[in-house]
Amino acid sequence: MDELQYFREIVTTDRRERELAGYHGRVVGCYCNFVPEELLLACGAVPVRLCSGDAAAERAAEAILPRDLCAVAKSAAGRVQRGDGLCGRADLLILPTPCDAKKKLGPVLGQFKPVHVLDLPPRKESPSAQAFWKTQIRDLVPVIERLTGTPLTRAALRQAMDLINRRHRVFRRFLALRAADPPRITGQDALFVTQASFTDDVGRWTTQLEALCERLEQSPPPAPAVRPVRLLLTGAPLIWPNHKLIELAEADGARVVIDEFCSGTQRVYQPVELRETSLPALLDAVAEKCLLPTTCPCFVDGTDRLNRVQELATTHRVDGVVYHCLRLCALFEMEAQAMQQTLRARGLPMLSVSTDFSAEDRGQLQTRVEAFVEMLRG
Amino acid sequence: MGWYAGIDSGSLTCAAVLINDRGALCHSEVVLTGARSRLASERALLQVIGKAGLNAADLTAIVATGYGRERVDGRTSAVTEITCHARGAVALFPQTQLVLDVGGQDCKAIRLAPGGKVIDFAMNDKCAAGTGRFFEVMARALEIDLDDLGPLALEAQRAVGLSNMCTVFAESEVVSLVAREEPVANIAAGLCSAAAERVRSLAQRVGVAPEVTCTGGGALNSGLVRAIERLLGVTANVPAEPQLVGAYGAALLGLENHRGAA
Repeated sequence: MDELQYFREIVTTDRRERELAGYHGRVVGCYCNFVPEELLLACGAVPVRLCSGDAAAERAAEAILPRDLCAVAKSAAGRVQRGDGLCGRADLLILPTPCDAKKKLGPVLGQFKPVHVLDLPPRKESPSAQAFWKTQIRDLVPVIERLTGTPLTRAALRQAMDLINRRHRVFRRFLALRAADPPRITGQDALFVTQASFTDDVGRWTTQLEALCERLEQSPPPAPAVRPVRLLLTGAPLIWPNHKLIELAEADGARVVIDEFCSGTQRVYQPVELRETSLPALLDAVAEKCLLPTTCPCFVDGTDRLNRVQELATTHRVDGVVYHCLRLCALFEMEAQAMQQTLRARGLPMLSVSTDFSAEDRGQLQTRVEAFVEMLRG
Repeated sequence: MGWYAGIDSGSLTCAAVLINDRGALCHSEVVLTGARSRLASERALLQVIGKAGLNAADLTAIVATGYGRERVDGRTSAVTEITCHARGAVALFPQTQLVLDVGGQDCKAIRLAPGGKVIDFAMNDKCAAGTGRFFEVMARALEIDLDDLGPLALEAQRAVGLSNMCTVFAESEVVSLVAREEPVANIAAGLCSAAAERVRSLAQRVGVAPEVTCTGGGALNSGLVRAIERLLGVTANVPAEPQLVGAYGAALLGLENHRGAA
């Protein structure tokens, strides 16, 4: 399907790199989901999310980082060190500090590129944490204004928020197609769609996804011989090219009908909610959107992810949950047990797998995932 | 007369069994896997059908399981070893609630609902600690036959504590224990206890239950089985040929699937 091919091309080829090579404005590399894209867009910068699942970049980073460090942090550093693709093109990197690895990554990336660190509070619910975070976002404004030479205006921010909210609306439409019974699209394809939004032009991505939704809505629904087992995927992010877990999960006819990854659904899930329309109020609303909906285990309280997974499991009528632990990311692994207990109490089976970016454990992983699907089929 | 084959293509050995259409295990064969699992499974299958005086064409179904299940030529389906061990264990011991399989390169705990349906399972991560491969290496370091390790462990005065379960580190530890003239039986008992602790932690992840069945080549090690029983406070069922349980389960699934389709 051509409409799908577009998203794969954005993720897997150097198309965006070529497009932005000839672009005269500023490109800002972002990590995690905490960076306010609206602010960057409003000042005329192009935000690109540079998080990576590249095993080769990870290994390369072992020259400058400890070996026993989470693969996401190492891989991000390896790509910047090598100047890969958009990492080479970026004029500034914005690095939030969710975990220990990211807290210490700033000076490492700083050897190669200018870095602005966004400090995250340890909790997100308290008024003082939110006040702190809003200050972090306000302090980012002059940094971006200086970079692009474009002062932030209320109108421009409003326009950028509308653009991002339009992206959010079409994404919700897309999620409904993915959640259909039987699903209109595989979880793997859906992950390409969301991860294309890492680097793609926001307006073009939205238009392309509208076209894909249109196509899927008009095509006859698939009629599989047996009802596919419906899975929910949560835990540490799968980031291209490390898609092995979702490939294996769907290999046997099961469908990942929803994911809860920061590299997937979380990225485009929440709209900005507006109460007032002054510039400070708009900025605060953007700040809230970057902080509150995230379910990153870096925060002290993990109940929101427990609740989100249960809610998604119910609304998407899933048969089981697959929990992805990334080796050396203790945060997700530590929350796995509470998740297992919570889901077990609801009679929902969960498989927890622990892996990394390498391909060497594909066989073991396949056995676990396949056995889980066999178990759910009964 | 219908015949059904189950082939368990494991990392160390490849087991093939033949059952008739009443589900009775008629013939079996275990061969070493070697470097090419495809050839090993082919050899095991040929030998087992040869014993029955059959041709491959006489088989109604060939169900492959184990790590190399997708490299078994001629298979009619492939099913994971979790499902197959559960099926085989329940056929042999219908009351089974917990299957503990110690295979060549991994261990698993499988929790069953009444009736034999799998409700949870846990496997060790990519590490050979406490598996068949582990005991192979340790038997070599102790300069004894693998088959003698279990009985020797049962004669031990005490179990030596081992500081590391990594196959590589444990091997050098065993070598130095032997050099220090620690009785081999005590070392063997220490190895069995340490491996049993790994199995216990897997069992605890899925929930310990009174009716335990041990499967896989590891269940041939009486010292290991006794250590597991002691740690879990149970008396385990051990099949006469535990290394065939996965292949037997696979063959049964082939038979049931055929009946279901007919």
